[in-house]
Amino acid sequence: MTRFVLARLAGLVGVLVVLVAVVFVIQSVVPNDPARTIAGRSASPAAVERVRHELGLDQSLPAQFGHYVGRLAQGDLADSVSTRRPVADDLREAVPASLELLFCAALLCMLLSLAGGILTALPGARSGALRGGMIVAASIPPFCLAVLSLLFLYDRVGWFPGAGRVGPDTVAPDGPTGSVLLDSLLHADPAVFLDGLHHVALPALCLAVGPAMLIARTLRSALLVTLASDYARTARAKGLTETQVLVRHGVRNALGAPLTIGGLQVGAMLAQIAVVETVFAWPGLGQYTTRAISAQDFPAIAGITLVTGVVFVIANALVDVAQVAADPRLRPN
Amino acid sequence: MHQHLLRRMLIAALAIVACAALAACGSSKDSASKTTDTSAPAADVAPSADDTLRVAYTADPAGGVDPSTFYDIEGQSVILSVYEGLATYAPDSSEIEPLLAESWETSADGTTYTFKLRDGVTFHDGGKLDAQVVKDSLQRSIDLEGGPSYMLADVAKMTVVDPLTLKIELKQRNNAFLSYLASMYGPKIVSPVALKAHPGKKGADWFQTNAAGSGPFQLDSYKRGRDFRMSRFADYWGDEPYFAKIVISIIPDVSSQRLQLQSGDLDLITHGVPVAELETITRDGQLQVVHYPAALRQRVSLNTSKAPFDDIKNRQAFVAALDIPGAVTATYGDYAKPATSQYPGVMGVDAPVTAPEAGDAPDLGKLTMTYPSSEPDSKRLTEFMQQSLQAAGFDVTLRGATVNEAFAIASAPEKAPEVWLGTPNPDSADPYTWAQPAWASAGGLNVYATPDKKVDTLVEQANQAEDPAEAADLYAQIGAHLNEQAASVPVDDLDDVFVAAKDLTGFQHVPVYVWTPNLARLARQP
Repeated sequence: MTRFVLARLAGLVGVLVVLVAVVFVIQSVVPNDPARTIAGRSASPAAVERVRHELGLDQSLPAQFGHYVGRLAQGDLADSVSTRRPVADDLREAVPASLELLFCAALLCMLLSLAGGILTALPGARSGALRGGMIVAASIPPFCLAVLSLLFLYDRVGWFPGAGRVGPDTVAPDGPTGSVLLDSLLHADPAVFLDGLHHVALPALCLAVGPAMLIARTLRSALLVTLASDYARTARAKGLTETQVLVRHGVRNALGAPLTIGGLQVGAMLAQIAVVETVFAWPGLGQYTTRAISAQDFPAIAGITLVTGVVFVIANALVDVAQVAADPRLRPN
Repeated sequence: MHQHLLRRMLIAALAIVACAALAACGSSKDSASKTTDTSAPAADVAPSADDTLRVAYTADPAGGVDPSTFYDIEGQSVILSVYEGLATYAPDSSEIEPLLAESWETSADGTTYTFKLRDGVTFHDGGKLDAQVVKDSLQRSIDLEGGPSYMLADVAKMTVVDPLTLKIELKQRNNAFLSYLASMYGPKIVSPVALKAHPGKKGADWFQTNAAGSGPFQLDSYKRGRDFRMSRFADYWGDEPYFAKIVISIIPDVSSQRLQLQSGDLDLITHGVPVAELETITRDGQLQVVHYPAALRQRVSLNTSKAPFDDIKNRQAFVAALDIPGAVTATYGDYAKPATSQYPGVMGVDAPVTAPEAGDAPDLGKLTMTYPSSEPDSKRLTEFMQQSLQAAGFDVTLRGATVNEAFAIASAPEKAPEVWLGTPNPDSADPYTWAQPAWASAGGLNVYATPDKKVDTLVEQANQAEDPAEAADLYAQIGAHLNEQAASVPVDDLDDVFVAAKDLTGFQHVPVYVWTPNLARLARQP
């Protein structure tokens, strides 16, 4: 088992090195000149060359790559061309914002999918109408949903704010976690907590709706099977109410497939987060990524690639390890 | 049974909605439309005790808000609200007027400037302005070697004559020097108290997200990705602004900005609203569009480093087929003026644009024309140009490109597209700040790094000419030369377009301070 874990870790390092190498190759192919961008358009050629030398861009590509990997080993992700500060500092600010949004979206997704799956599993005309509504909701791309929700829920009826993590009159605490909701609770500031909740609600809803509808439909299918099963019939015969049958036997036994789909949908939410963060001016990793790409800020792109690559590879590695730990038959001989 | 369950579900749903409503308590939105008279100047409106001006940026300023290294456009309204330099431009003009320097004298040979400083100026942290402080600030700009440091490259010596007099001696005459001091990127004076409190790296880290200037507003906080918060400086030496506070939110999507403006959560958008939407905005009467001529010069550059535009005849034939006035009018309407001078209109240089004579279009093969990918109106402009070019027999394909790509072209122009549309702006209103970067061989805005020894010679002669008439003539000669070469084609001067709440008044604008109305002069009509 230990050898298996070490092998996975070694694989992780290899994958990250390949990821960074790919970013470097792309950087060399795409026309851009960060030295001129930083030095300024009216800088003298000598000034531009000085900046180019400081950035190491006058070295060969393999030398630049080696230098970058060396800095990476010390936790240095280089400096962003756009923000002119360490990429690590930028990510330290952006990642908690995205995690907060993702967490709230996942929570909303769970609530919506449970409600949708249970309600549509119940017989009646209402469940049919609800199923139709869910299909419509699942069909709207998150970008459209974000813009439509801003138009109606913010602009027309004013139920939600339109941008940012807190209102202009709210001063959010400066840490320690970077999450407005958590930090306001830690600082015992309920007003900031409620304002933060109010601001995260709409972007989280836009991220959650599509995946929630998919999970709800899966839950519904599983519920229909479990509610028609022999043990459910036996439970009814023993005098349990329908609610008790649903909760004790139906939902608990039907959660397997929805949970699996739910895990995958979190990844789907991550893919959509850039669009939602841009529309709602949410200063998270998605917005940082969008700007880095449009500015051809390759140090930032490399840093983002590394962070998301690490998260993805570690998550997969943990799943592999958990599977092997749970089922000895999967262990390599 | 099922109805009982449904009832429980409904109660749970209502409870969730009630929680959302509780979280929404306290938020208020004024959705009532306002019809106000916006003609009253800000000076007639008494300063407010607590009114907040809300503005939007599309991105954080690159590199933060250190005035000694700041060289972006987004963020300029913070810099100009918080910091001041020795000089500035008068509104709607290219006239330089005093700011922290009350007056100045220039030696006959143009190499020595003696500045008399304003007395009684206090910085936000209590520091006091004097000649040593100015000298230290300018030296800081030189030492940090940021983008705008080139403006002080000719400074040979700075001498504190007395506490309110600073003498600056240049290595050589530089007719653009005063305009650099008035430029929005020009050297700004920072507080000595802050410099002393943050000595490491000359305070570069601290000044990225903090400020200590002498301007009408002080920076209370800057949270990257969120907002800038400024408040009125009680001890400002000049006119007291109307607004007590300013909040500039970072909202990357212009559509979101517009929704916020329509909902009353924003007061001002300074750029980025497509021209096609401006008509809708003014039609419903809820908002106002205020626009001014600006030094935003769009131009087309042709790649002279490779075929077909290494041949001047091909360039002239191509330029002759460009229907620039038609494309500009169709795209921008009243919000741009077709270029009539080789120089941006604000510079007032008499260097008329003359188009080559139209003739048969040679077969130049497939040509690629790029436009700034972040500017939807520029894309429309190139589409109109494409139509006229294709009608003349040229095969032109369009594609978007970034500013960074423009900077990269100079190192390998033979690999670059044949035609490049850009929207650069000069650093100041002096013609040298356009001619040198745009056309000199080593100019930073010379997209294809087209070598031109004639321009190199003429532009430096003009910048060092003692007689203004001689300088004007030299700049005109450069313009005539460019007409012949047909490699750099002026298209138009874009207006700065501000979309604002209907009750916002007191707009003031300097043409070379692009995207930047004077926030200290704005007021809300009572």
